[in-house]
Amino acid sequence: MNELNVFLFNTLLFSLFFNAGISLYGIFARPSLIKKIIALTIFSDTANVLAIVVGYRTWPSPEQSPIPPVITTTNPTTEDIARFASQAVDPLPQALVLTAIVIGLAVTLFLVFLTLQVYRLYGTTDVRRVAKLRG
Amino acid sequence: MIELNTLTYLFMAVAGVVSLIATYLTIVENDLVKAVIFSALQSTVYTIIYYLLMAPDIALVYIPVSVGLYPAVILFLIKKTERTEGDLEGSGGDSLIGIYLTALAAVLIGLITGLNAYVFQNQPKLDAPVGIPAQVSNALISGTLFFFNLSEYLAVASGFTLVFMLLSIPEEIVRSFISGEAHE
Repeated sequence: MNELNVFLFNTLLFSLFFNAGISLYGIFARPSLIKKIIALTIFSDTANVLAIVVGYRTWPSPEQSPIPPVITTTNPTTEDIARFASQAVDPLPQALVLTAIVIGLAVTLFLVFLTLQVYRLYGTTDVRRVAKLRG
Repeated sequence: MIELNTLTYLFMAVAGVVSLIATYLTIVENDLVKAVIFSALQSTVYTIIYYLLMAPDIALVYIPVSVGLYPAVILFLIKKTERTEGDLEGSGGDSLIGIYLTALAAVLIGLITGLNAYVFQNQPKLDAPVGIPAQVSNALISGTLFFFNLSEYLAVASGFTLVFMLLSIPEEIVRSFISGEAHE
């Protein structure tokens, strides 16, 4: 059963790495600027998920499943805190990713306006045709 | 008998494979509107992965941003660059009031009852009995974070409404404005 768990978790990891590779291909090789923006968003999301995966705790024993990093009891005893420390996932990547999502939205909006301005000035969003234009 | 852990990992693996397919279709697709829809599917699957990786706060923030706002922005950009004009009913909102109310609710209750109250917490505190609950019948709602996220979503949406109104200016007017400035 343990090998099956490892295989399934590795499937998730390989999917994420392939996602990063495909989106990098989209950023570098696809001609449309809008497609480049979409691929950049997928790439940043994949990086965020990888950060969360790093903070995920996979090593507890099979009868202990990991829990979110939130204490829900008002008066935690020492046993509660010890159990929390042995089961909760790492909250630091989650805090970083929370900031990264919002900043990524702002960056996307800036790129959208840049693309719109390129279209207004050159009449196309294809980088191959933009590169051939002069003046 | 399948174990709970194995079931969790199975969901993770299926979500990863679905996101892989959605990303591939997004990059390969030539129709940009279909590409945005596939990208939204990939974002939905990532939300499930966040929840399975024990990050419910991230899932709460990620859903409105990545499934709602971001495809809307890209779709408006596609509409603009393909020169199909769309009508827009702009509606401003004072959703920041929601943030103020969420921040002040616990303080007001604490002032009235004379007890200690806590703000900006996603879990109960020792010395403060008054606060927004972190958990409603075993489902984590992360206390004030839930209401902050809801209000922030509405506030950002109303801000984006302004952006969309800017984006919905007809192209001919913008072009004549730009060329007029260039001649001066």
